[in-house]
This record gives sequence, structure tokens and C-alpha cells, in this order.
Amino acid sequence: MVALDRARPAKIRVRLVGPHVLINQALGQLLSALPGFELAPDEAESSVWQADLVLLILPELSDLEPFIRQHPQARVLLLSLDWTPAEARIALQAGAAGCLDFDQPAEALGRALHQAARGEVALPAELARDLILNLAAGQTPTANPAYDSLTPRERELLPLICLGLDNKQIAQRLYLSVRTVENHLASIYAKLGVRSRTEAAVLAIQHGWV
Amino acid sequence: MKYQKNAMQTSSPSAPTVKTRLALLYTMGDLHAEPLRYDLNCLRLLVADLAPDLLCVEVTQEAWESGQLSASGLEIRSALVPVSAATDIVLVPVAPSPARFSDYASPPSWRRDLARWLDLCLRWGQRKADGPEAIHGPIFQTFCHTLCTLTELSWKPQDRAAWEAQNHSLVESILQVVRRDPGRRVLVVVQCQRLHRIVPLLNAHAEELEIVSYQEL
Repeated sequence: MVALDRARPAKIRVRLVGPHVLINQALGQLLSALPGFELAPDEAESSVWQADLVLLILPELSDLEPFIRQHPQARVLLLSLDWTPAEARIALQAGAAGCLDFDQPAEALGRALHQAARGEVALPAELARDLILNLAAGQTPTANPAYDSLTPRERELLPLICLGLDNKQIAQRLYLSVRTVENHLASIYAKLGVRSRTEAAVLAIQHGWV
Repeated sequence: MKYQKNAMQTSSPSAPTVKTRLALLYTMGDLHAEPLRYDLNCLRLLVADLAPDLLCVEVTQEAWESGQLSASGLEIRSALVPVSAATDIVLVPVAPSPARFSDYASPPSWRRDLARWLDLCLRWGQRKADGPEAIHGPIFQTFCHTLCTLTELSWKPQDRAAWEAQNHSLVESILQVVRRDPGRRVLVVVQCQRLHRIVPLLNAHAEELEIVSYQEL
């Protein structure tokens, strides 16, 4: 476990799928320049299966479900403009690993891809906040909260989750490593009986913990 | 859902504490004011490749949190901050004050002439040490240690004391980072003139951390 924990991360293979050659090429160059990523070759259909992540640009959100049905193993991130919470919810329910916005710097794109590669949902902070507030308005928690069992550090993390910060942003605020934040989150999920940061945030907002 | 399963599989934060692996990377920030500069892209790629969990740099917490990095070294602004922004590497400001080695001056006398000459020698050595392996090799480290010790001797006693106190505080900040998040891979990037000051101080905490070369991090 320790040896794995200390291993240097391998490069994340990203496959770009989009209707516009120019945009694909530009994104390809951008990703190649970001540390920690490499492009999966796009000539073969099999590269979708070999890639760690698929960055998908779709003109219509309705095309997402057929794509995911065709490639059920792929971790798909959608890249689009002006996401609404309703659209993000549809995309996530269809199986997308995240919704990314064109209107963000390359570093934010890199962070979101790292986040998705770790198995988290990648959403722009504002969109995550809006989505959580929407969900909190209509969702009842299914688990019994155990706020008292949280450690001071875990309680410190809860408001940051509710702000829609991703793991890197939380780690940077608390000067902890991203892995430590991931461990704290896993512990929070287990103690609160939830399965995701969204559920944890909903629970925290509904119970007035933050 | 898959991502939830993965998240739950990570180890608990209450797992037994392991020693922190800590590596020191020395920079030659003084050369940035000269026409011949060392390749910052090399530093960028090196840090990105090492991918430490925590990257301790010579910036004060106030400067970092307010985004006022103009007083910090060029290598920090142009190499380390962008790498941290583009990756999962968390940048931790550990400098107790913005003062750097070159900010300490010798009194105007033969001592200042000696310090200038030593500085020229150091810059010559820095230019000759072409690449990270050379900078971290025994020849350059002995050379740097000797010249920096002599330069420090040319300073006023209160400046020497201030420099020593600053290095003690810097090491204390690094130890806080290690204690806050034990068992992680920590890379400390400091100007090479601190080498002979902070290594013995860090070595005194062998029970908490293991100092390794940057290649072994």
C-alpha cells in the first residue's frame, strides 16, 4: 500500500472525440503541453477503450447516451459552453464523469482531467454549487448523519465541499496533499453514509452544518 | 457508481504513520538577473516529472494567499507556480520572510570587496554547473558551501544572525508541513545558498522524515 502510494503517477491517456478537426487539433496540442497527459491515437476506434479518459465535444446532449452505450467502459468528460444545472444533471445521470466548460484556462482543464482520472466527478465550481443547491432543494437524505463522529479536519472539509471546490483546491487551501484530501473524503462518506461529495454537501446544507 | 467505489477504496487517514520522504532541489535564482539564465523549462519538467505530493517553496504565506508574488524569485513565479496550477502538486509557502541570500550585504570595507569577489566566483560556479545533476553533485555542493560560508563571514554579525534565524524558521515551517500531512512525498525547492544551513537542521529530525535525493523521491 505504501509503495503504491509513493509511486509516481503514470501519464493519463486522453482520447479526443469531436466533430471539428481544428478544435480537436488545438485541444490535442494543449493537452500535450500539459504535464501528466498523453494523447491516445485517434485513428482506431479501439483507442477509446485504451484511453483513461475520453474528452467529448457533442453538439447535442441527446447524443451522449448512445455514445456511452457504445463505450460503456469509457470515462467520458463533456466539453461544452454555458452549462445549466439541469444539463449537467442529465449528463451525469447518463454516465458522464464530468462537465467541462470551454470558458476556462488550460490549467483548470488539466485539473479537471486529473480529477476525473482519479474517479471523481469533474465540474466547474459554480456549476457544482448550483447543482448541489438544486439537489438540496428536492432531495431527502437516505442515510442517518453522524456529524459528531467527524474529526475536526473532516469538519473543516465539509464547507469547502459545499463551495464546490475540487480536491486540488481543497488541498491547496488546507496545505494538504490531494491524496490526504481524498482519504478524508472517503472517511467522511463512510461516516455520513453517503456515496459522493454531492450527497455529503446536500446533507450538510440540509442539516445546517455549514 | 464507479467513481464512488474508487473513492471508498482509498486508505483511511488514520492509517499508521509512515516516514515522510523529503527531497531538496536547489535553484540558482541569482542568475536570473544576468543575461545568461538557466533553463526554467528544465525546472518545470523536472518538478512535473517528480510529481511530489507537496511542494515547499520560498514564498511567504501572506504573499502566496494574496497573490502578490512579485517579490519572490523568478523561478517560483515562472516555473513552480504554473506547474502546481496545472497538476495535483500542492504548493506550500514556507518562507518566514521574503529576504534572500543576496539581500544581506557586507559593510563597506575590504569585506564588501571580498563578498563581491566571492559572489562572482559563485556565479561562475553556478554557470559551470550546467544541469540539475551537477548542481546537486558533491563538487558543486562543496564549492557552494565554501563560498557561502566565507560570504556569510563577511556580513555584519546581526545579518548573519538574521540569516541563520530565517533558515531555522524555514526548517520549522517545513517540519510543520511534514507533521500536518505525514508520509507524503515532499519536495523542497530553495536557493542553493541555503543548502549548508538547512540540511543539518532537517537531518536532526530523522525520526519524522527521510531525506532522499531528488531522483529518489
